[in-house]
Amino acid sequence: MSEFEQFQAEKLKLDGYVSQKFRIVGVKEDLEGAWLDLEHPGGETAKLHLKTANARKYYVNVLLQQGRSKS
Amino acid sequence: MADLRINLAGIASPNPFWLASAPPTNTGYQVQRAFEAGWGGAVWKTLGDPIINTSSRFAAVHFNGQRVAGFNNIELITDRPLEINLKEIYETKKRFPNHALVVSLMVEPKREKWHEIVKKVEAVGVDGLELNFGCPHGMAERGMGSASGQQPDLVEAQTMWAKEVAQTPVIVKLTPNITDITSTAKAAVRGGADAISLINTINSLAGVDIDTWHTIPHVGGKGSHGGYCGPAVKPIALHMVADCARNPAVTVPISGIGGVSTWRDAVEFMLMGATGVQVCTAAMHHGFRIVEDMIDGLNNYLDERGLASVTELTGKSVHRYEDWGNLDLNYAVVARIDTDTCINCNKCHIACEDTSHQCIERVTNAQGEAILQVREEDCVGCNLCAIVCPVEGAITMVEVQGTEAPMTWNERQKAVAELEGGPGPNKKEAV
Ligand SMILES: Cc1cc2nc3c(=O)[nH]c(=O)nc-3n(C[C@H](O)[C@H](O)[C@H](O)COP(=O)(O)O)c2cc1C
Ligand code: SF4
Ligand code: SF4
Repeated sequence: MSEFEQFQAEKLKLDGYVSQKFRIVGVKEDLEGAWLDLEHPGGETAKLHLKTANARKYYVNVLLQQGRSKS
Repeated sequence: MADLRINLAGIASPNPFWLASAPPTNTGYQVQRAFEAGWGGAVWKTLGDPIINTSSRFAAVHFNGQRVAGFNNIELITDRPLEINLKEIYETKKRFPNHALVVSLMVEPKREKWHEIVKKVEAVGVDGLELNFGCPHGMAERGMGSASGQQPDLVEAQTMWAKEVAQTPVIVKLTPNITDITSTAKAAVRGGADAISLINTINSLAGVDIDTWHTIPHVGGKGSHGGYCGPAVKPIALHMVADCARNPAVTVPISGIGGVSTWRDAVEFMLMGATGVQVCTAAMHHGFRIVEDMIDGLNNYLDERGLASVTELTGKSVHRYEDWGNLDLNYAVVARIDTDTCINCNKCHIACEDTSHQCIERVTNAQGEAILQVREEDCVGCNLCAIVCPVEGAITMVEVQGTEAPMTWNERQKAVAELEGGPGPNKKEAV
């Protein structure tokens, strides 16, 4: 899978959660990339491992968007 | 015709092109001929206790047919007695009252030594002084030049000593042989400098002769490190000038030096904060008359842009020079190949395939011809293919219209840190 396809796959997963109203509530970044904690207003949680640089950039775009929509 | 006059910390000059303190400004004969040729100013070859030079002292790096891409020297300061220099400085200033005549000085880091030379030089009538804290060889071994220019406290103290008696503006010339040039620039400001100039030469060894195994140059079989200058050092000099210009604690004007060969180079230095420029290697390579093209070119450039004065250039690009952390991570460009002008040399493909992101492919177009095409979704916009392409304009880097708002690394880290401090399970300090 090309780097772009990997990113697309990761983005699709994150977008999927976001479209179901999940919010990013926690993150751990380490040598393996970013580990996201997602939470649904209904209490359901999920974890997502983002490896590609573009996805690690993208989730913070989402995060900032999330912050803006909160305020 | 635009107004080319500049004023560097009170030193007026008919144009921004000065000769740097070096062989071209060794004697009154040379400086007067330079002024006749059109140079707006000159910084006299550094005065101090006269030295003795080695015979073999210059070397150049020629690169792929370009002669003198870089220049290397192991020359020291003036080898002529002070009295002779002062007499010629006096005569030169008398003949050219409207040109900027600055005199470079280097003495031991002792207060009385600085007082003595400043008084003697100013007595003959000069427009300013430049303190040479930069010479990287020979003088440094005697505790002068870059040896004292690498220590902020010595830069500050010596500047102060010169300023204690100086009546004319004092420019402090900085050495690039230091990790952070703003530390010595700030020291110069603290010492009372009226301006700074940079860069002096960069520690270097021009080469080793693979037949004789001698250093290049060698003096009877032995070599010593020298100072590197000329076109090759321009990017280093430009960065250092820009770093000083954008530092709020460096509050004095800047004279830009290092690889200036054309009016274009001068414009770049001025946009990055220099009030004027100094030139050494280009004059040594091509002679004094290069200043004619420099003046013409600068004039045309200013006229074309409707700028009335060259001073309008100074510092205009400084705010565009940022810490990496403040660059927009969401900005994106991709390479695009113009198949009409492409000569199918394949260099871009090899470069991308071997050393970048493997996204230039050979495809067949509608006419059945093999063409190169960028797979844009995988292109990271590194510019490498455009850099190696021998055909001007065959590869353009095209901006991708993104949907995301700008986001810098610093903004990203702040957002991540806030999240990590929030309800999530993992708390981690942002780096
Ligand atoms: C042969 C030679 C001798 C130099 N001597 C001096 C000197 O006496 N004092 C000084 O401040 N700089 C000296 N320099 C440094 C130049 O003034 C200038 O800072 C440096 O060459 C960078 O400019 P360029 O790239 O235009 O040559 C010398 C440079 C060369 C090449
Ligand atoms: S810009 Fe870089 S990644 Fe994009 S095609 Fe050119 S070499 Fe490849
Ligand atoms: S390097 Fe330039 S000329 Fe050569 S194949 Fe690529 S686009 Fe064409």
